[in-house]
Amino acid sequence: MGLLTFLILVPLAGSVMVGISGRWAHWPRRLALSFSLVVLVLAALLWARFDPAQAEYQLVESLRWAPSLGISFLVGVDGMSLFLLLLTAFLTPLSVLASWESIQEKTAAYYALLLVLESLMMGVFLALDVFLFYVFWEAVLVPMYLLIGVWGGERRIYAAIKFFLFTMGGSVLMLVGILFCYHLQDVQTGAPSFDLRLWQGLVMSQDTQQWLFLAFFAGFAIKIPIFPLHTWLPDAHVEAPTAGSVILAGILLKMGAYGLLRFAVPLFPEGARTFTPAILTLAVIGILYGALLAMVQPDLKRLVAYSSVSHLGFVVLGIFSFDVAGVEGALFQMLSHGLSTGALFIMVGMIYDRRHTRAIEDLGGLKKSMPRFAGVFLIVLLSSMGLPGLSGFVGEFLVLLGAFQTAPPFAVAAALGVILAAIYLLWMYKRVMLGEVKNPANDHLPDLSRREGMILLPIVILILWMGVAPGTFLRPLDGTVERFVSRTPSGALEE
Amino acid sequence: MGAAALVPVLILVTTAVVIAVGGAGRAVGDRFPSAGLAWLGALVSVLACLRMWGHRLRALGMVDADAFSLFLSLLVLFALLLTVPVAKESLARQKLEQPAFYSLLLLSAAGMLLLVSSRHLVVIFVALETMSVGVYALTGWARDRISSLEASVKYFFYGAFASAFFLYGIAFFYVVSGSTDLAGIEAALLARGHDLGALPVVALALLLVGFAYKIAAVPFHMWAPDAYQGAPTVVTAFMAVAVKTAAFGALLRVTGSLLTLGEEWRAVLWVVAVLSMTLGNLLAIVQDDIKRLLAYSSIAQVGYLLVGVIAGGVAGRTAALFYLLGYSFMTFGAFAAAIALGRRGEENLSIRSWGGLGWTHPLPGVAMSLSMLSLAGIPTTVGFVGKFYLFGSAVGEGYIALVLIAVINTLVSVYYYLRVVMVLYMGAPVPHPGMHPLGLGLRLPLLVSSLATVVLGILPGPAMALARRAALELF
Repeated sequence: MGLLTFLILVPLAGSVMVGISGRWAHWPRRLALSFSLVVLVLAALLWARFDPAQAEYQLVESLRWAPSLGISFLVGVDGMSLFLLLLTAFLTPLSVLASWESIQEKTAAYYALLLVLESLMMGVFLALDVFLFYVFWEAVLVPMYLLIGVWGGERRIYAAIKFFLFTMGGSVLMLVGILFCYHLQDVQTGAPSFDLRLWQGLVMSQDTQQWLFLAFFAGFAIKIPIFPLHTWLPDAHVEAPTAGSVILAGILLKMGAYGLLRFAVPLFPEGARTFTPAILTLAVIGILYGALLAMVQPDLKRLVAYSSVSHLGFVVLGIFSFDVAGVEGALFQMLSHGLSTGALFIMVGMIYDRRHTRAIEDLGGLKKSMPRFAGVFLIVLLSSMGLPGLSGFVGEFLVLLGAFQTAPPFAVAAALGVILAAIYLLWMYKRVMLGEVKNPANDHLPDLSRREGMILLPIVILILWMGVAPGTFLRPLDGTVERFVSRTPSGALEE
Repeated sequence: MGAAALVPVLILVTTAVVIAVGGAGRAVGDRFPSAGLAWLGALVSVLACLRMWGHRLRALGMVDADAFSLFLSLLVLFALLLTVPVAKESLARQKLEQPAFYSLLLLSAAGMLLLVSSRHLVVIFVALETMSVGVYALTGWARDRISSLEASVKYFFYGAFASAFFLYGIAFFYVVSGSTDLAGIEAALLARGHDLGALPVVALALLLVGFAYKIAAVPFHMWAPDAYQGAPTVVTAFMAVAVKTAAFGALLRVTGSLLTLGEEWRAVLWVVAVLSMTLGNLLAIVQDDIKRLLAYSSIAQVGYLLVGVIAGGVAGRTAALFYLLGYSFMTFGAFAAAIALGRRGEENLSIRSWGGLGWTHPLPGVAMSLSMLSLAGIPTTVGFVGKFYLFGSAVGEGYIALVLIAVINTLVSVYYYLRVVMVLYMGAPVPHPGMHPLGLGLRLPLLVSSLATVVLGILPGPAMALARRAALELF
């Protein structure tokens, strides 16, 4: 057992410890924080040991699991998964801190589920065995369902079941696709296996590829979510507790994009090629539609949720540009969105803790009593709308650069989304933070506490770091992305 | 002519007789350890089965102790080992405990063991009846409750119909082939070549109808919801797990040799499977009584199991056998948890009234949730691995449409399975007169079935290998 296995096992062990620590009031959250920090250290260690020059999977570990069925515990990491693992390890302790005061009931179960979720998300990004991947992918639903359903808001039960059914609806189609590939692998090589690396050698007709691509795409598109499959997202976000929203937006949505990059496109390049124009269209609609809807939301959390739909549209656009810059931009955007949207949800949660409302019209003039909060909020917003010098800019810029190479009309339309983002985010800032205090309840609110500062400071540092020195984060991607692009149908759109 | 293959059956019968005779005429409250004896008998029978593993014994030329029958016998005996302690605790609550209960339980289990061990249609019929008669009586065990009696009568009449169909089928086969032995029938029919005529087709149809009644497949499922609801819950658990396992095992054995007669039978089973899962799942959505919900869910589960029969081959049958194993534990866990959530003075089977109980009663709450997730096919449970291989075997044989229908069905089922979890953990508490304390008789079976559900879901390898060995016996 090596480092990668520990990334999965440590949070799992932590969840057991947290689960049985329930009788001592403050221990669940303390233990949860300690374990998630240990995972963060492990993830940092992983980054240190990662060799950016290598394009193939690294640190691969393989354990026999059910050999007669071709299942193995096969994990590995490459440039694509490296930063998503780091993001997971980074956001989990912040989620624990964000829940510190606001979760008062059933704390042991809450923090245990949070750690289970971390373990499963690590598994999703690490698995190279498709069976293993599917197990993690599907199992993620259960803790998230419970987090939303038990600790969520008013309509939490509706949101939780909607989240579960929507995402599972896509996954079961992917399951059929997986079973079919498994069968093909068995027939073509005589040795049943779920090893992703072997599956890339499968011989398939154009028709088969198209169907299989659609099956996998269904699973991933709902998770991202791609328009028009996004309707579960605002409900889930609004009802979820803050930490649930952070993880949902920060990591779970990325699982869908990661699935496209890791499975759907490389396994079925010809299938992907057929549907690229349609997918690009949906991505651009998602960018614009999400932005327009974000503009008219009366609720802060809903606004951020729709902005996610818009931002993830950029990710899809970047992936299906099949251009090195575009794909790297998509991956960068995934990280940046994880940080900035995570921070936005955390800060909306902080406002809610103080005012017990998220309605924009109830707020206004918060900057008067919370100047530091307003400052951080502005940085995060500016990053989210893609201001140069902050992380959001690099991702969107690269995506558009890539898309201009291969799909210019889509890039032009998507660029409008950047402008819309500026409008809805700044307008929201104006209504919430600036202006006169009309409602006396908005006066004399406490500014950032030390704990809150501790949550936001690392995010702000990273946002600046990624914006100023993006090379640190782009270089490890190079090899992997080039390998990805070389397998994709370049020039798919010229025809 | 050795009778060694019959030893597990004989142990059960002997124990049943000892309990019946020893317990007869004793006053209620007299401490005759009938439950303990029954449990011991089941345990000894398990040991006997384990000793015979790998020996391929045959008794009287009609009963085989091959890997297939031993695998299924062990499943039935596990169900028995779980049922006895739960019965002791739950019957004591309702003041229904009597030695005869265990006697009947063991006798019907003996019938099941015989049912899965025979290649001879007449023996299969006798075994089917032995099993059923015991269960009819157990279904009506709550004599002062009209619903229990109604369930018993309903179950009995439907069962009698099923037996009649089955018997006709045997008779027709005898007319065609002059044999009631599966191998004999197959040989005689193969000797006749392609032109079989109508009679064997009718004969197989009649046999399949008989089986469809017993495993509660649509359209022969109508008895199940009422019988499940009316019977004492512990009997329902035994019915849902052991009866289904045994009958399905016999179905696998019979179809293993006779389905070669014609491909069109797969088409018929295809329709039955699709109807079972679709109707079962759709009707389960609107149920509030947990036993009715599980009844419809078990109809749907039969639909999934039939996918393995339709796929056929080693893979399909292995998958079906493995799924039966998983199904036993997850279903038993659900029923045992339902019993554990009962309140003083009432059984409390309405899901709506379980609000928040998952927090106050962790063990039944977790057991019920795991069972629900497993029945729905969520990963890290045995239900997921089982469905994965059932559907995988069907994809391998080209039944893509069937698998698509099946996975969409699992999606539908998630809705009602999760509703149970939702009420347990997210529902508002309902005021109630207090709950029974949980004794070991419920705690241990709950623990065992929950553990089995998870462990088999994470490490399916060894059990899958056993199922495969069992499936190979069918060829």
